[in-house]
Amino acid sequence: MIAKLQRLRIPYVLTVIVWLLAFAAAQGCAEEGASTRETVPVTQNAPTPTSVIAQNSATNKITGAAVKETGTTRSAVELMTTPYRDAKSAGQLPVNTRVDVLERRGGWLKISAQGKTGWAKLHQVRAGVGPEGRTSGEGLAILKNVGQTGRSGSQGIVATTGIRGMSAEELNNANPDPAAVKKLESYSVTANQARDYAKAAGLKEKNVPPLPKSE
Amino acid sequence: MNFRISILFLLLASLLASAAQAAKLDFDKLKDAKEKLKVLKEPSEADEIEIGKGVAANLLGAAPPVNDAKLQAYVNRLGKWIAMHSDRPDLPWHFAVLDTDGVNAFAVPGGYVFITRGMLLRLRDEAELAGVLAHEVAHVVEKHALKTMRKGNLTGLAGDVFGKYAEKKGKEEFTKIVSAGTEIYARGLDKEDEFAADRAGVVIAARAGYDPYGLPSVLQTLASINPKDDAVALMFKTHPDSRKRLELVSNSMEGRLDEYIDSPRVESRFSSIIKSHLSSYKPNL
Repeated sequence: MIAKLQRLRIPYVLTVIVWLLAFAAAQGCAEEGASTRETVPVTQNAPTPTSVIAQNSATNKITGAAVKETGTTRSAVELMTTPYRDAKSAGQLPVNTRVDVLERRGGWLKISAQGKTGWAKLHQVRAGVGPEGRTSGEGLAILKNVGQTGRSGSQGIVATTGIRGMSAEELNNANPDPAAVKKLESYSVTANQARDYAKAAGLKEKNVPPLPKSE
Repeated sequence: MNFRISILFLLLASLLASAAQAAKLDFDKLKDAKEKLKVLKEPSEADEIEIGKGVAANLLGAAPPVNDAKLQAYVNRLGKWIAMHSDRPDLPWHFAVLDTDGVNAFAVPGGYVFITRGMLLRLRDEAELAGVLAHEVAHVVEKHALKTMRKGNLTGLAGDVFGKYAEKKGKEEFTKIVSAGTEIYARGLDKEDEFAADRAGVVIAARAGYDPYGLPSVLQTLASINPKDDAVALMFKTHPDSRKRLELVSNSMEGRLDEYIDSPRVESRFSSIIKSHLSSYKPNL
């Protein structure tokens, strides 16, 4: 009886092996498909309910270009007394602390909050206020004060329905505009013009070796 | 008992047959994929420029250049200076600000580089603008878009399409190549190419005399924009996470570019150009 059972087991084992092989082949197919064919769903341009620009325009007074920059800590931050990795500690700030950004230097930001001032790394601070805060660029800071947001704003529509972006569909359905290419080619400058312009800003060429890939 | 064994054998046989079928299908797919994985021959520089011009015309069809000659002259002087510090200084470089609120920048083969007005208005100084332009210049120099086009499996281009175009300058090949080339901007490049352009971009900006932390500062800005904001939909879809980019490029820079961090960021020239642009801005409809 036991011998018979053992004989019977052989086909069972074979069946299992075949199933496993078939399964593995199917998996392989699926992976092959995934890696060679990239199908990215097209994001819908759902309008954001209220633009931050519109919200902020009421609270921001016109102060010219120098709008004070604020931020929020992404994680608990160990402040440094100087912008160096091995500098002394200037205290800690907890996650989601609203901070004033006083200065930028290399990959560091000088920030101040809760009576403490010190240096944090760029990635430790989210520009703007709140967990989904928004940044202040030079141009946007001015626009905020004026209460317009470019294209939509200048048409008299205050940006309460989100900003019009350039979508994937628009790109794929665009009609070529060779005249615009001609026009932009007319803006091109010579190497000497570029050199003079760089010199005027005090830019000095440097020898810099390429950077290695990071781990 | 014999009956049971024969049923088992029947089952086994059918399984084997289907497995063989699956294996054959698998083999066919593999052959097909291999065919598509064949990297197409690279076009000459002259053809690259012609193709780039076609793709640029498509991008400009989606968003026209900002109607501000002073602003366009500014980005061209800056862009040219940056490109002069790349490994392809002699390409016919062209730069333009596109009239869209979307936050983005594009590098087209042959030396066409675009930054959107939405991106420009979020920058703090010239070093940040230089960082963005240098990242795009790096894409052109390292031929990332062209490399993507040459991978037939991604773009649907096949055979010796570039060779055929080179030979006959046929309109049909040109249209095919240009439309495949345009699709790349809706889909994005390989994420490793984005990381590589970040690393190369900070080096080019530093060589041109700017504080190399302009680009990382922009990445910090991008990482702070609400991802639900319409303005960043396309850019976020086509690029790796900005925080990841900031982390990787910062790690590569760590301790290596410290001697350049006191290079100029050029705030005042940037600021006055932006102010003058805003005061005279008329949308290009």
